[in-house]
Amino acid sequence: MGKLEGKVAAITGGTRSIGRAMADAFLAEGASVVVNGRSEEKGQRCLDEMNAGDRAAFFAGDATDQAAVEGLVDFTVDRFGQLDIMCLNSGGVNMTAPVAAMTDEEWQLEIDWNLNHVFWGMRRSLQHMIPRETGRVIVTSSVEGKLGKPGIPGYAATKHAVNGLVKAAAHEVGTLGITVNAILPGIIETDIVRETGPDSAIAMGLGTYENLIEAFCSESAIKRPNRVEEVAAVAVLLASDVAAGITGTMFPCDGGSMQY
Amino acid sequence: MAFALTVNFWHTFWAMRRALKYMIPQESGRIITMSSVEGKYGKPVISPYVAAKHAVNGLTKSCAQEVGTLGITVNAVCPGAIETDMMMEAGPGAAEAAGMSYEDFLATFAADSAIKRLNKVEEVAAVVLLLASDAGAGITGAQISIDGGTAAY
Repeated sequence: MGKLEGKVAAITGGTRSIGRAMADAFLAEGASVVVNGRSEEKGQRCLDEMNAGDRAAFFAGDATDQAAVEGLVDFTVDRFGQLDIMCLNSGGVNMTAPVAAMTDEEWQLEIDWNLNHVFWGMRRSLQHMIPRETGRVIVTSSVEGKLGKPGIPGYAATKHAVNGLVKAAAHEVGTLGITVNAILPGIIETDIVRETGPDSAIAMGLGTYENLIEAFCSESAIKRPNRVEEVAAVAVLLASDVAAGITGTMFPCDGGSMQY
Repeated sequence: MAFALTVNFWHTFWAMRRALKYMIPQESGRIITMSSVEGKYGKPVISPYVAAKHAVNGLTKSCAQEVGTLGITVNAVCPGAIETDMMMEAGPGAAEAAGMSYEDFLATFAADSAIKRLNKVEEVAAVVLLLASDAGAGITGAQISIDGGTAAY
């Protein structure tokens, strides 16, 4: 019997990388899963690969779009009758730049993508979870939620903000059987990092993509990037019944990059 | 103070050092130290315990950096108050010293949390299981809170 038998999860940015690893791990533990992403084509491919039949569904939508994020919650409840595990996982940067060169458009995108999407999804899912007095909200934050690297001010700011949101919400619903936690991964070579890494490396003054990865790894004790499966294992723990006493936690998965 | 340091800190150091003698050559291992929310926060009247648990966290962080590329992780778990056998034995005396009932003493711990209850040993064991597993290879030097939302970091 899996640890998540009978549970229903929704995951923003769930068709690939960290979100996809969470979906795979949840399915393996017996949950039903709705994965969200922008691309219908990637969504269909994801469903084909997961091969989980009625236990998996895809909901198309952009995480920077409030209607899409709230729609994911509503769709999940409509399809599976409940929502037990809300993973607010989508996030990233588009055009990396230092503060002095940051455009209003990029700043707004990062606020919408990394912070507002988490707020929208958290609020909608809590409205469903509070009457049921059970639930798990799991936010994919980052080591940049505690640290701050040059060249990614929007990412650092929004991930710090997300951590504050998680702590406050955890205290609001702590006696209602609902936990709210953040996972803080170190650098992982996800699709998004591979796509945006080269530009980020230039904005951060590091030159090449390889130097960017090395800069993150050098701060860790393990001197390697983290892996999506490592984050997914933490998500399974936080989603399980036994984790009822863990809330408001900034759960590191960073190979020892952060001091606190 | 000496007793608190021996029980909470020296034993951790002794065992960590000895375990690493075997783990380093095999380039594989997991060290999990039992810290506490008091390894992050400080409560009045239990300063030796607070000091010792903070020390355990420091030891854990340093050691994690030393063996990070050798397949060995070193992590601390930081539980909130749990009604263990030791708490049931020592708690009433501590409560009396603080001028309150045992029940009120436990309630002060629960009040600091979001869940307004004490933690359970099984909750700590679940985190330890994750850290001990192969999937925990990327988690090291962490001080993981299992405290119902008591510590803010």
